Formats: sequence, structure tokens, C-alpha cells
Amino acid sequence: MENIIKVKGLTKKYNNFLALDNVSLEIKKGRIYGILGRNGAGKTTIMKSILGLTFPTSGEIYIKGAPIDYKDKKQFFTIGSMIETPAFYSNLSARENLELFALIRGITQKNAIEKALDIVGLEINSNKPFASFSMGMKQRLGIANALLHEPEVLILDEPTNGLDPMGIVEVRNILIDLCRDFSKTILISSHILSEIEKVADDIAFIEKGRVVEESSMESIRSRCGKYTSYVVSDVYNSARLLEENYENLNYIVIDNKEIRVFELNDKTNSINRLLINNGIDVFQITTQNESLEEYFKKLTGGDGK
Amino acid sequence: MFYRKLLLLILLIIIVYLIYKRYMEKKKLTWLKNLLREVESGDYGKRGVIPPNDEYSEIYYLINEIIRKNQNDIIQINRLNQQNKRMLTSLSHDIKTPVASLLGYLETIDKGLVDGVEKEEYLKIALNKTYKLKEYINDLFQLLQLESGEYMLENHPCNICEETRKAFISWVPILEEHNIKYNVSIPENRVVTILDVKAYERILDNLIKNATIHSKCEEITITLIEKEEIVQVKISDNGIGIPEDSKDMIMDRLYKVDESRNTKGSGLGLAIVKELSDKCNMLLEYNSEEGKGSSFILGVKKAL
Repeated sequence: MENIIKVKGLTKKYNNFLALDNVSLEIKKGRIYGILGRNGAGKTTIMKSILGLTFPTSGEIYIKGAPIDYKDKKQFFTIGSMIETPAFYSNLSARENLELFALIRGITQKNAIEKALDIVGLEINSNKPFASFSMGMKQRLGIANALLHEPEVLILDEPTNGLDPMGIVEVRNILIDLCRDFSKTILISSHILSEIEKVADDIAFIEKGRVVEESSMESIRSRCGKYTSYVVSDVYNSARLLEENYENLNYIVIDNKEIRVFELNDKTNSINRLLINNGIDVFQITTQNESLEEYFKKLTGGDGK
Repeated sequence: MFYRKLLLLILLIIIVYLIYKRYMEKKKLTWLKNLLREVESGDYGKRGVIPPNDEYSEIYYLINEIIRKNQNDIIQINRLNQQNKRMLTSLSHDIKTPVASLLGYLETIDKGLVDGVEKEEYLKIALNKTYKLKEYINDLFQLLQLESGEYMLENHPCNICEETRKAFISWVPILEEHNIKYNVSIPENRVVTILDVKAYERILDNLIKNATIHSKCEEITITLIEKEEIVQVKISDNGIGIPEDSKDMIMDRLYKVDESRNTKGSGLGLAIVKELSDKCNMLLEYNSEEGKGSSFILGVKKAL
């Protein structure tokens, strides 16, 4: 899987303030990448750097394998973004606002505006002026604007900021659909773990301008979660014994050494004894009991919210 | 004299304007050429971006449409590949786990650690596990065959009432064994449809099996209603139903509502029903209410 955006050793200094310290990220094509960090950790600065809105103090940024050429606007055409609060003309409707942007930026198909509004669930023929939009509608128009020129990559800074629970779910579904049905690559940032957790395929934890960890959600999830893992000398007989002695035990065989029993329970002792009494060596028992939240707290050394 | 200078000036303006226009056109065509070159070298995500009021916009839009279609084809192929990869991973667990416990039982017997009644019991358990595994592998194979388009239908005109009755009768002893009440309402007259008998039987079998074994119900009802152009066959139960958030996924070949991994039967039954019914051009609908029951409705076209 190729990297559609690559950040290498990005450092950004504002006078004496070190906003970003040697940040390296790899955003893979067709996946949703979440940057998670507290307010002020540097999420927006990373996004602005990728978009060429601010220049790095040092480090390199590559878009589709080519380093950023700040004089060539065309390489940014393949990116659509919404950074901070979306700004539109208050007296114009959704459609009229997008028509303006279509003239300025250009579009890729005749009914680009209708399609964009349809994806975000805004009414095409409404004359409601932007000033009377709810927060959720404003965010959605921002996303529609980012989609207008059919970019391959979407960079959205805290897209669920200020939304009510319904709005959060709607935006989340829009993002998932965009990735699944239109194969878009999406980079989002948030300070709320549960939001990123539900949507991201890959995740980077940012704290004080530094990347504390970068990993796929899948690998983090397999490290968290609740289960007890037994590394044994005889997987087949262990499986048989578990089935014989425990009704409906939820377990799977991982390979020819490891069995995982899901849901923590107080059976660890008795399972261990059962196996040993039947001549099976138990080399290792590990209990995994960390929720994603606890993992994040540990990484950032404090409250993740 | 003055008029000549004016004429010259106007001519000059026209020439400058024409040169400018030509310059802008060349720029847009070069842009288009670069775009096409990049697409040709495999980057189907690229699009030509142009304001809607530009005279070249139609051309750009048409080219974008062609690129988009190519990209969609590639996305489809990639998605199928991904699906297959996921299937292999999760299916390997579905096969590894029963094989592991099967070997456990057999090795114990082989080592002579059990005898007499216990040995007989172990053999029975091992045998049953092997049957289940065989069933699972057969289901899997049929599903793959269906999905790859290799399954050949053998259609004949037949009396759907008779076929439905036949399929159901073989389940009666099992229903009685599970203490499940049954109601059958199939008309006595001949209703002719074009069917692949084996496929139809398979569909009914899987649906009835689902109701019998997975729904934990007390009563199963089968009704056959002849309408003007189609025949509706409905199988309903009053069991645990399908939870709201699982409704879209139950036809997905990997999904099982009962999360415990010790349920009997593969998770493939409904996926096979869906593939087969699609293949036979039958409509499939289902309704369910959690805690109240489910019903599956097949729509079969009547023979003219």
C-alpha cells in the first residue's frame, strides 16, 4: 500500500516555541488516518504544513511521492481540506456558496455541486442563507466544499467540533462512506479518542509536538482488549480439555502454541490447573485487560480527553 | 491620417487579444496533455479541474468521466481481493479451532488414555465433529462456487407446492425431536414454476435449519401463497429474532448472530441462501423483531 502523504522529520518553530518536534507520519492510500492529541499538541500545525499553508523549519513533506513545491499550486489540487471553522458568505445559500468556489477553484464534472451536497446530506435546492445554518450544517458545507473538486485526499481538522451527538454520528458516517465507496484517503484530527477510534484505520498519538506512537488501529486493538492468552505445549489436547470442562467457553486457537480465552473471568487458575494436571506444559499466561482509553492515557501520561 | 492611426491601433489590439487567447488555449491544452500522461502511467485518481464557465470545461468533464470509470473498475477489483483476504483469515480460525479440538480427542484415544465407555463417547464426539467440519467445508465450497459463477442451474418446470412439501417433510422428525410445533399451509393444487430442484431444496433446507437450530423458537410456520405472477413461500419462527444492528449483515458469509463460538452449523447458511436465490432469480425478503421472531419470504416467478 503506497503512502499518499509522507511527513519526515517535520519540525516547526514559532520564535522560541517548538510547535512540532521531528514529526514523521505515513498516510496510506484509501485509509482513514486519525491524529489524536490534546488541544495545542500540534495537530492543526501538522495539517497546515501538509497543505503548504505554513513552512516547516526543517523536515520534508511528500505528496504522492514528490516533495512539496511551494510554487506549484497544482499538486494541492488532489487534496481537499477543512481547517478550523469553515468560512462562507453568510447571505448566500449552500449552493450559491459552492457555485462561487466552483468558479474560483474549478470542478471536475458538470453536477459537482449537486453531488457534493448529496454526499453530505444538505438540500440542493434550499435557499437558506449560510448565516442561519446550524453548526452541523456549517461543518457539512465545509466538507462539501472540500469535496467539490473531487480530491483524492481529504484533510479535516476536528470535523466533529461543536456538533451534537446526532451530528457527530452523521459526519462519522459520511467519512466512512467516502473511504469505503469512493476510495478517498482521509486525514482527520481530534482530541476525542472515541471519535477517532470508531473511524480511523491508522492512528498517531501527538503530545507536545511529538509523535508518541503511530500504528494501525488493528494492531493497537489486538494489543488491548480483554482476554487471557495461554502458551502451551499441546494445543490440541488443551482445546479438547477446555471444551470438555467448560460449557460455551469462548476461545480460539491462534497457532500451534497459543490459545486465547476471551472475556476475563476468574477461571485462569482452574484452567491452568486443568492443563497441568493433564500433562500439558503451560509456558506463559498473559492477561490483556487494557481498554483503548487506558492505553492512550498511559501513552500521553494524563487524561486523554 | 487620424483614421489610419485608429485603424492600426484597433488592429494591434485585436492581434494582441488573439495572441493572448492562443496563449491561454495552449496553456489549457498543455495542462490536459500532462493530465492524460499522468493518467496513462497509472494514476487514475487524477482529474482535470476547470471552472464551469470555461469553454474547455465540457472536454475536461468528459475526460474525467472516462478516468473515473477506469478508477472504479480498479477499486472494485481491489475490494474483492480485500474481501477474500479477510475471509481467508477468519475462516482459517473457523477451521483451525474445530480441527484442534478434534485432534485433542483423537490423540487422547490414540494414546490409550481412555477406554470403555469414555472411549466410546470420545469416538462419538470426534465423529460428530468431523461431520460438522465436513458440512462446513462443503458449504464453503458451494458458496465459493456460487460466487465465482461456476454453479450451473438445471431448471425444469415443476409443481412448487409438491417440492416445498417434500423439502419440509424431511424436517418433521427433527422438529419433533426439538419439540418445535409446526404449521404448514400449502395449497393442494398444482402451481407450476421453473426451478432447479436441488437449489430450491437447499434454500428451504437452510432457512428451516436456521429457524430450527439458531432461532431457539417454539413454533415454525410455512405458508405458500399463489399470487398473480409470483408464488410467495414464507418461513417464519417465533424465536430470538435478529438484532436491529445485525440486520444488514446476516447475509454476509462470515456473520453469526450468536456470538458464542460453539453454535452448531456454519455461518454460511444464509449467505448460501442469498447467492442461490439470486442465481435462481428469486426475490428474498426478511423481517425480524428481536425477541419475537423472524420470517423469510421467497418470491418465485410462475411459469407462463
